[in-house]
Amino acid sequence: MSTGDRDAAFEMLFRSTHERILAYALRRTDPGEAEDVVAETFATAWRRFDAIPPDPLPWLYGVARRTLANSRRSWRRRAQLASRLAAELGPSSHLEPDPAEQLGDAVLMRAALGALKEPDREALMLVAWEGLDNQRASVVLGVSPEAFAVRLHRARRRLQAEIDRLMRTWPPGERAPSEER
Amino acid sequence: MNESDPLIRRLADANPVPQGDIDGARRPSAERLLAEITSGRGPRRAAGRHARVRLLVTVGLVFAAVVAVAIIRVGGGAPATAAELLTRTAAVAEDHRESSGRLGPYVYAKTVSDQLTTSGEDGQAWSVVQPIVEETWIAADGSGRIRSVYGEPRFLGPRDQVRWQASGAPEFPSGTSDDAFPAGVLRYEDLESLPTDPDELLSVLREQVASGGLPGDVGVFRRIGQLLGRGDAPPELRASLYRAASRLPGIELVGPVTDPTGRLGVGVGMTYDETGAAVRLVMIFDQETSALLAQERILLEPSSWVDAEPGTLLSFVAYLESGRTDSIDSPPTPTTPSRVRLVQPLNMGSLNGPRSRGRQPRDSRLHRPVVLALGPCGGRARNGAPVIGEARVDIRGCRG
Repeated sequence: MSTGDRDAAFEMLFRSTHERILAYALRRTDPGEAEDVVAETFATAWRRFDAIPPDPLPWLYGVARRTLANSRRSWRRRAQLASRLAAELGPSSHLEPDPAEQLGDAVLMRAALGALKEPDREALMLVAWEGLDNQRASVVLGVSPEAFAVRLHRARRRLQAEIDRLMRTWPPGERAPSEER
Repeated sequence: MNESDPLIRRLADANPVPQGDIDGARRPSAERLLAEITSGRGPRRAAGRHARVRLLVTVGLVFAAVVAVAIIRVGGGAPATAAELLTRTAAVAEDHRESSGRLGPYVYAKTVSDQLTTSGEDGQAWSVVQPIVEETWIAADGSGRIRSVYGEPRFLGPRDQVRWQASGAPEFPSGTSDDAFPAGVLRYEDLESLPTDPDELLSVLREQVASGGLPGDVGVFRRIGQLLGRGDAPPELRASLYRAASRLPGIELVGPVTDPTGRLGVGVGMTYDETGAAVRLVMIFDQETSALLAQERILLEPSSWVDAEPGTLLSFVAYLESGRTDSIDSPPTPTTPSRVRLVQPLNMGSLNGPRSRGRQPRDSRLHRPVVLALGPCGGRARNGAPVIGEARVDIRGCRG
């Protein structure tokens, strides 16, 4: 492939996937880090352009996921997800209020999600938020579709258990998801 | 298959960034990134985008190293209740038509805060406090800039540190982050749209907090504080916010206090249950100017989620500057001097208002008169020795 072809092909890939990768990152971290994750993901895609499979999106999600996992700031986001969602006084969110904050149930769902371990959470998010089917989601996580189906099934059950637990102690300002009882 | 699963659908409805929600506002930074990558230069890495510089000065040094002993004076007789104090302050707010300076496209705000983050599994929950100095510039189109300087994280007690270690000792954010955002990303609070009738305002705020945040009246109380923290709110709205606060059941008069940055003010609080422990949310304001100085969260009894003594200041946000500015590169000019006043002694007894019928603070010092110190560590919460309730603040006890 000539340099010009490669440039054009990369540009096409970038334009068709950039928003999705950005959305992926924004769902998992703060905007500043999200931009870094997107930049790193596409820089990797540029370097390893020849390794990108015909269906590039799951591959890109996989790169973004590893980038995020390596990022130091993702701790903060994870901690925020898992911790009291509402009680904090500090300069919390300057972001546009997301739909989850408009809806009690969405807050509950996110709190429940935040209480799960990362592999469970990621499986659920890939399906519910990125809208991937099991086959594509399994590529992101680097497992077989069968293994993914099992993981999703278990994650779903744990999510339901977490929702039930939270329902007994809701709302979060009254009792935190991270509370010991 | 997945779409027909009701649980997955519910989860999909909780998507913080729905599909297709990213609009063209992102395009400029996307184009820049594309150009950076294809030009072979590679994207500007974190080093350029968010320079993380080791903090050389602690947050406390931001504030004047003035030591003063001060007690508040209340003109026209001491208010007997929190509601009375708030109503009076509303009148001050209404009359306070000080020019807000130049009008610019950006709403600028500078806060210093101690943020408490709790994480960990059941029975292993731990909390950490981290100071953050934050400046925000936000335009009506949702574009702007956020600059945050993270201070040293600290644990309020040894149990939290042990649990943090046990959970793999995750790193905390550090240094400085400075990000510019394209339109549509940041939240621009449209103050003009809020009603100035206190009852109407109260019902709007109740709706707002019903959809997330601290529940019920304490959520409304906190929201009022956040809105008052916006220094550019018009006088009518500020007055209405104070009046709305005066109508909240459960508000308590805390009395004269210093805010965590050492500024003198008067406090009104509300006690609520947070994860099985009584916590008091306190709004500290300057009753002579109606300016909101700070909001604080004080632990009133031992808890399972933070290792701290009753009376500990858990977290706070202090509002240092706010106003409109022309430029994303600067605060409004001239810089507002921090409010430091020396005033006359006052008998606190009359200031102690009705207390909540629920849990009582175990630390009765919370209601004692206060002698205030503005010191080199003025901005620091002292572990187990909150600004509120300390008869004297030993500045040598400050950290950093």
